[in-house]
Amino acid sequence: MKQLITIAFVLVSIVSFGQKKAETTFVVQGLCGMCEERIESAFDVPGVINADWNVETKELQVAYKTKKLDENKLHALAAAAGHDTDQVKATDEVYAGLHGCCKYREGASCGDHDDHDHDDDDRAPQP
Amino acid sequence: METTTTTTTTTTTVRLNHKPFPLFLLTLFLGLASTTFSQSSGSLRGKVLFESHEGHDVGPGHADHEPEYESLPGAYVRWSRDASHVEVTDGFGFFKISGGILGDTLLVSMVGYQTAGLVYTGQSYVDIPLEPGVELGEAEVSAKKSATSISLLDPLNIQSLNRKELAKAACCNLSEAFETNASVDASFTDAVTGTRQIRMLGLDGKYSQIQVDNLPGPRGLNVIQGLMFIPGDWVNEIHISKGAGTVTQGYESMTGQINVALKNPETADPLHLNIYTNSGGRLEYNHVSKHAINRRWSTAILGHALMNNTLNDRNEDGFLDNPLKRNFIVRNEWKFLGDRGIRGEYAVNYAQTESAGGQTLSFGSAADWPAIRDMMTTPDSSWSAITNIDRLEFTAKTGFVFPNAEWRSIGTQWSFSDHQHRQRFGESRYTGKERFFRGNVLYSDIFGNTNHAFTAGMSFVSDEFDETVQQPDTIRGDYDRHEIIPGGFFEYTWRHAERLSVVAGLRYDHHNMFGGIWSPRLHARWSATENTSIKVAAGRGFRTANPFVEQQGAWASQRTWTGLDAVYESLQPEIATNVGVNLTSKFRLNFRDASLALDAYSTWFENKLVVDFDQSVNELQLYNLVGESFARSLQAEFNWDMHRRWDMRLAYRWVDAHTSRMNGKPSRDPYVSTHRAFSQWSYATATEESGAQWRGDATVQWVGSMRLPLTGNNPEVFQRDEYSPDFLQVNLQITRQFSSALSIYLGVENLLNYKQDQPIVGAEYGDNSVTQSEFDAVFDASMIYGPIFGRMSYVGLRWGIPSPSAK
Repeated sequence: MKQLITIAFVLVSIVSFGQKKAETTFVVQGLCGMCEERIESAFDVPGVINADWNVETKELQVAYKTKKLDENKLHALAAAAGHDTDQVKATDEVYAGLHGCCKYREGASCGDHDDHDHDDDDRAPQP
Repeated sequence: METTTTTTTTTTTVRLNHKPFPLFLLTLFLGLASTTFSQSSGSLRGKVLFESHEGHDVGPGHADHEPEYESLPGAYVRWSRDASHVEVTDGFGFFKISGGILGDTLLVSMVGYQTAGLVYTGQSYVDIPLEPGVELGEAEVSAKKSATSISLLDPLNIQSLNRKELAKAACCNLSEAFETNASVDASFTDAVTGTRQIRMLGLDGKYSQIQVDNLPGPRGLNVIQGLMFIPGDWVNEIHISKGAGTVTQGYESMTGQINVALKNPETADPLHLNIYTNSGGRLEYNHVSKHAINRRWSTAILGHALMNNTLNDRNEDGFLDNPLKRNFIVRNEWKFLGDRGIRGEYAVNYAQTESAGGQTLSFGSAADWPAIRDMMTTPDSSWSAITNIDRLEFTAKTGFVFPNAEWRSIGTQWSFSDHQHRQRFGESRYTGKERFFRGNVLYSDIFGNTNHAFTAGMSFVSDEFDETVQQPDTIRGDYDRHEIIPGGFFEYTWRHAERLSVVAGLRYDHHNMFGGIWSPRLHARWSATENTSIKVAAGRGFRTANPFVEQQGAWASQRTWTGLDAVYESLQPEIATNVGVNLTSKFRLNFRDASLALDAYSTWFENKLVVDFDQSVNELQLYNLVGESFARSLQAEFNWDMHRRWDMRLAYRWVDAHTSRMNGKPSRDPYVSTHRAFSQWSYATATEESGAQWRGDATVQWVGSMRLPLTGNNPEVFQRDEYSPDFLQVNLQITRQFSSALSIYLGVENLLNYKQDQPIVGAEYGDNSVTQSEFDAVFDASMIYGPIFGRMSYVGLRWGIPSPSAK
């Protein structure tokens, strides 16, 4: 067992700690939980370690490997999914393909933005 | 909008689930309410609704279904001529507006919906459905949520396992659902019946309180087998709470509470079907469907059928490795969602199981169920074990939350069950009947503000047992008892500035046989930082032992039960106190979420019914504790969402459990491994547009050595080591999700094919032959510490109509 754990840790270290990393935060336009899902899956690409978009602050926090990506590429990823950043705007074609309620340029609304992580709210039903 | 509604509903569920309310009082309340409202003249009251998605998406075959409506809180209501007077609908979608003049138009508006107009013709009450104004597609929010979670805010140390976690090891029923969990150990009771039992914090599952939808679950005579009556595909979530837990659900919890939330008319997918088969010959079918009856009533039908007609004897010891089985379980749940915070859940559950194990000679070449049923009364010359259980259960929960005071609620919970257990193991017979009734009434309110909340209530339990035990020419006994336990409880919850919360509870139960017993409980949580919390727990609980069913394994041996009469003449409750501390920390490791949870718990008994296997190989001695009995446990669990595709978990737990045994026999509790560690790795590809995905899960588990009962009195060839060897168990599963509706899974349990060596004492292994008289003197199939069957592969299919809100 001990050997197994050691091997596991060694593997993990090789895979994830061997490269230069950076983390950045920038504003990505969007409106709702659907947008969040779209934005975050746009960053589901090699080189991105973690991407987390906050529906309230519109801030996207991305950790990435500097060898594979840089900030410009990150902005481009958001725009390619239809979401503007302060540096790169989505093309009209891509933007037009967004779901009706995600048309942030027109000020559409998904109503409520209360869909952030509820991990700490859904406690086990207490009798 | 969808999101808001879901959130609201969920919160309400949580709040109401446990605060049911009697129907007769409900009628009274409604009566009062209408009286109050009709007093103000010229005013109109009503309810604003929206058509929920379930109504649309039942499928083309259900086009004639009445659409399902849900209340819409926060909508604006006003008369068209008076823009200054605006009313807002309350938490249940209700509104009341005065100043109505015949012919006026009532305007109802809400962001995201088309404004509705209604001409006032003197109605006193109107239902106003709103049409969505902005189209919402099928795409829904699915925040990436880990499969297990521990809350940093809850004062109770509760670990929640959701469907995603439960699907990682396609477990067939609750007794098998804990394979991937460090807090709960699962092991076989014997080598014959395939029954699994669980242990928590080093103590048998009977010392934990297992609940189903917050109502009494497997307990009493059903405490072991009851876990098999909960099919894995029926389960929506499992909440494992360490420490004594809340007083509002009774006195029986000592080491913890396991609450199983089944799929219900709210949480179930419209349709879910599952078939499963494994290399042991087990075939299973599960069905879950929900149906909307009307705006207020909905129902869910849950079905389960299990069949094993294959005779397996891989280790060639002349005994079946897995029992032959036929199980049928059906459940029907009804949910009532009334106006103004009234809510009810009603269920009926029927289970019938038949199981047969023992020497292969008894069964010929194929399972012949009519012949097996005859074997219950007429045994043949070889050793066989036949078990038959019939169980019927009714439950009702009704709750009421006061309008405009969502912190105030009244609830009632009623349970009734009728349990019949019949078995013949060799020449020993046992029949057990239990009729259980429980009523629980709860009232929740606050002192001043929501930082000081309380729940008070009363419960009544009637538990009637009728047990008959017959062992060859030695013992025949009838053990009947009727427990009547009225009780009362009070629980106070204090929250202080987000950093601190305390739940302090006290209950008093007056037991007709044991007298009055107090059960104090205390849970506290302190958030050291935003991401680290420390929880402490202390509490006391008691229960009545039912040794005949709890020591299921002992029946699969030639051991005779001794000490029964002394124990039953002056039956004593088992009483234990548990204290514990937990530290949970969430942090980021390599920019990705990780958590570490450390636990330390200690349980000690004031009294315990000691079941002693060590005095003699031919006896099972029962006596009340003399000396001490305790269990201490430490646990560390590390979870890391290490990569976009990978999740991992490492866990280790240590247990030290001792019970004083007579005549200086070893005190270490048998079948409890001191060390257990495991590691779980999960991989998932990105979900495609269609919902298609590949998932892989691997679990490596290391189970340390356990003490086994002494076998020194046996002839040498039938002796066993005092300690079992440690072993590794590897499980793998691959799931192919073709769409959100269809998936196939394929897995291997016990990949390394580890098998306990010579599991049955007295069976013929290799060349050694055993005479009948030797067999009669030494037979013991209960000395089980590990797998018997070896490597087992399985395949299953899940198909259904997914809920629009679940992805």
